[in-house]
Amino acid sequence: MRIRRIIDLGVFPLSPSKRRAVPGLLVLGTIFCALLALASGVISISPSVLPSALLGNSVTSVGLPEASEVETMIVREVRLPRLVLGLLTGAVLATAGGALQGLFRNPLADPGLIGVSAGGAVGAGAVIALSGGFLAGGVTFLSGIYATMAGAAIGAVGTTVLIYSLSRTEQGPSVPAMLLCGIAVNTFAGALIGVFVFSSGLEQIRDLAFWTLGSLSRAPSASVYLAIPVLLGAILLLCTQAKALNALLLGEETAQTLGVQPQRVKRIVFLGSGLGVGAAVALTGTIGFVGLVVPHICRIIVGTDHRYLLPTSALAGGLLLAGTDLAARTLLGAAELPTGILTALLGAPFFLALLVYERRRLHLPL
Amino acid sequence: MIKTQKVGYRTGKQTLIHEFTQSFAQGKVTVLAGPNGAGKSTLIRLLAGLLPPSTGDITLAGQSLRAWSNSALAAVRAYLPQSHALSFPMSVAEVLKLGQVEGTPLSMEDAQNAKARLLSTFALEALAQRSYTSLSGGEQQRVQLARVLFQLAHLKRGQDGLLLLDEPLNGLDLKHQQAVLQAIHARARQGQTCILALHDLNVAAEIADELIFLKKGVVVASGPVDSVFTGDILETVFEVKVQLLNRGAQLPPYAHLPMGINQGEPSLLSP
Repeated sequence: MRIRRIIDLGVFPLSPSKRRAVPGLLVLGTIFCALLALASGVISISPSVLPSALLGNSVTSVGLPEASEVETMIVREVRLPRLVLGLLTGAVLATAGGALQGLFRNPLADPGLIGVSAGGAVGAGAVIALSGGFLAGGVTFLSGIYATMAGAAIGAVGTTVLIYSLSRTEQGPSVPAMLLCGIAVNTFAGALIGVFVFSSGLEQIRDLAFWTLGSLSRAPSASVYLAIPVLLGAILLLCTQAKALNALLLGEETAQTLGVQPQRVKRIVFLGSGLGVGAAVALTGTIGFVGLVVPHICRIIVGTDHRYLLPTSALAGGLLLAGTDLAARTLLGAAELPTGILTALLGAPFFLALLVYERRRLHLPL
Repeated sequence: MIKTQKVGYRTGKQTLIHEFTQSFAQGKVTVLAGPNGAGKSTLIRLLAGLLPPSTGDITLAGQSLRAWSNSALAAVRAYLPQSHALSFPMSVAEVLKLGQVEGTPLSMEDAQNAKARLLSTFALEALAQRSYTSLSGGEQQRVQLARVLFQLAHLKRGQDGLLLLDEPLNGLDLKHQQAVLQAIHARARQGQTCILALHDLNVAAEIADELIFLKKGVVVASGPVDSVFTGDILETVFEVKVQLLNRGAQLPPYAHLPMGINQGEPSLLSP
């Protein structure tokens, strides 16, 4: 886990020629995971009928078996949107985590830990509590989804700006201050969501409950497709800042002498991560630790250069969340775990280990 | 060519730099010296365009620094800060590469050659793939110096560039001090304007074409070494008596600081 040691062993990060294989491997892994996710569930579907279920019966002309109506419905209406949601939210959380870690210059900046997701949840929760809940559908369905996402994005961006300005010192952002701000924001957000729950009707309480747990099961498929441009846009926006984030690792002043405009980079990263995390939270609630674990492991494997780190994190984050979600809905048979619980079960010990191993370097009094 | 006209810098009620007027000639090495808190680092950051002057103006190539874009400035000005933390492990080669500013006319091949030369100048070849964060302070300093010099490696002989180095010898052993000073001197002879903050007076006197003595943000003396490197000026600036030992006509005198620990007077090195 001690990155410096591992790097000095000479195996990781991979040399530039080996590094090129990583995205390919991740894409292969994602395809495998996707096939598994579409095929498994309460009703298992044979992989051979998946092409027919996805693309329609025209594929039967090349000899592939035909999917039944139920199978087509399950694949298209339930599993595919959920798979897309897992891939994209995982990607956006991991990319935002990687970019925020670069900006805050420490490996503990995770959208969940520092309160960005919680800020998003408060924004989304406020919209739901005020409007009566988008998941109920109805005439305001479309505007409701975007309103929820906008609320979440505003909450997420606002929280990021707040935490960055509160943890800022002459020597760069302070890690303890950042984590303490995260605790404060998370507690406050929990309380606010409690207030929303307390003042809401039964239907809204069910909507709000999953915010705190994080699950891919509640988002209607139409809202997933509507969110695709926002999530993809956020990832691409963050990736455009990769080179500037590299220079920023030397400190804001030095980055400025290298032609980077630190204020501009900050604004774009805040906007990109806030928008992306906000949209993700609006659809899935707060799923923690993906933004912490994924960039950290990717940094070990491909190195700190954000031009490789961010796209690799996006691919790996998507794979991790889609895979975790697959586990969450198949491990216990018919019963389904909220995905957020699984990521927290995996991520929290990882976070603790990171704190212990990095405490000296980060000047944490542990 | 960089010029300052009555430049002042204030934070709150404190005046850190007071009416600083100076022009730094192309191809010359100017050393800023003075006691702790004299304003050397502040002045370097002002000249780098990192701090906006509270009063007065700084012009680079005839144009006010305020009017320079960040990227245009990055192509002609490089800055070595006094301390450089790096939070994530990057290899030495990656840190060095950060010095290459986008849009500067440096072909792949020239960049490779320049990098190889700098790695060898600062004895970093064996460390190129090592993680920067695992290096010692002196090794990190050498990497940063190489990065700074790499930033201006695209400038041709005779083209003006501005090298601002805040305590470039920090943490370096004698051999590497020599290598760094020679590299700075070579850049100056190529036509780049070098401005350094140094605390070792004897090194300062030897490398400098011009010396500027600062105290509490005010210039006490400035000019060629032989006119300002005098016992009186040193005593005024540093508030301590320094003995100047003559080393002949080719070298500036040697500033000796009597510690009052050992008995005996230093003997002159040459009559």
